[in-house]
Amino acid sequence: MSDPRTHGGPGPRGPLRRDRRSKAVAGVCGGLGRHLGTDPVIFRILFVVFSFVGGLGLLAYAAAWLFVPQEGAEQSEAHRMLTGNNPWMAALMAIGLGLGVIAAVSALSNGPSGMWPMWLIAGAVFAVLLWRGDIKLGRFAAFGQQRPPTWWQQPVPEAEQTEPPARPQGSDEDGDDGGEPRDEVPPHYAAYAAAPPAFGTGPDIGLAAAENNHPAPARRRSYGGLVLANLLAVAGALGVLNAAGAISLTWLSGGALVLMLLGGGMVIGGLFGKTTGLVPIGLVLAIPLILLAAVGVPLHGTVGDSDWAPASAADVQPVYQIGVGDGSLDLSKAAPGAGNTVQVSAEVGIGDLDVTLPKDVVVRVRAHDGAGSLDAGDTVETSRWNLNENFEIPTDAEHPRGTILLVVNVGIGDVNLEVAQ
Amino acid sequence: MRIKPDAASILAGLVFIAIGLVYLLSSGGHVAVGARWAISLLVLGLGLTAVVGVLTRRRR
Repeated sequence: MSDPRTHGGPGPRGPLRRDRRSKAVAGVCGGLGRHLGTDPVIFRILFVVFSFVGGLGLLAYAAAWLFVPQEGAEQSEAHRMLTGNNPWMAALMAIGLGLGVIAAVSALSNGPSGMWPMWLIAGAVFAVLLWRGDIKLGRFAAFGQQRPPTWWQQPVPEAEQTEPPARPQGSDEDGDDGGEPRDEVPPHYAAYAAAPPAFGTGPDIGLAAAENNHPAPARRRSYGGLVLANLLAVAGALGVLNAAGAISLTWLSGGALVLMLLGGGMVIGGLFGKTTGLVPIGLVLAIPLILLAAVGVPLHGTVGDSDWAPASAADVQPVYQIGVGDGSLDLSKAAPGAGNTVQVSAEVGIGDLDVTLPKDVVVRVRAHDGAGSLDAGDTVETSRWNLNENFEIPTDAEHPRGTILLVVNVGIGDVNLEVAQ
Repeated sequence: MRIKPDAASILAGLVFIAIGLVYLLSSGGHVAVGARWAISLLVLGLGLTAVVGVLTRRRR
């Protein structure tokens, strides 16, 4: 290839290509990092975050893998599939992408109320990456020094654009690096390498050059990828068995089981090599599990918004449930009648709950809200962590039209109770 | 090939097994677990993991 590629540098920017060297999955983030001169970890976080938003991240990644050619290749995977001997594979990919887009649009149409857990997870991932040193926040800017270009800002050597680098035997012994290329010092940055590493420069070019003067210490073989692959397979099998009704898992027991499997895999892998690279994944599983269990999130029922409006007291169901989404329960036409009592329970795992109560009815409420606010007009208005309230909404009517016992259980979200006018 | 166990990996795995086990029992109603205890166990375990990791790396 003859086009100059000076990714992220001051020169002209080359075409977007999937990177061979910084390949975590298919090299999409590495290629974006080189193309835009930005740390690929940022793109990896974004892809992970948006994967939880209706699977958008996965879709975008799959589309990039299909349509962005790899380094040294002239044609994209999609082009090769369409013009090669496997048109059925291209059709399968297109159908998969189409179904994915439909699923993503469907998930997004439910509104942003269920999206905050992904930000929690993303925050945990970001914190762990920060802790591990995969992300460096302005170390050079803080000391007013000029930052030497790191690997994603360096040009790809011509030889690497045309043929993949030969991976040595046992090249997966990279520990936690995940195959990330080491910062190398190109000739025009030799001055940086010659200079002693400055204070606060972090594990970048200066230190990398210094490290290169000494033989690298032997590293344990990493089994993180193998353990993760097995974990995904077992978790998927558990999901299938659960969906088929062979086993019964709640989100709490399922999450705990997956965490145990991850820990077991780490222990077994640790007997033969290194699996500490899975600690961030364990944290991403454990922290939401602990927090969601702490606030008592009732993650049962459907995903998506629901409106319930029973036409009479006889139509009232004992329990209304939503796993993730907003719920609206209109009981304005469900007055039980004088002397009668109706008990109804409304549960929302993550999302808001609005309940409209009939006029001239005594309502006794038992409410739990893990994280959010409770607004019952003049009776109760509070907002705090893990609130539990028992109260009665009185009526001015001389002859009330019955009593409603309302049990409200919301994990994360706001509860709004109002009397119909 | 010589097998080289990694103490930090094993310890971190045991921490996750312990937390998973506690919440699995909790989901069945066998034990009641507080978030403070779980978070403390997590932080303690991973802190020890980091210490063990650093110490074993130095010894190598």
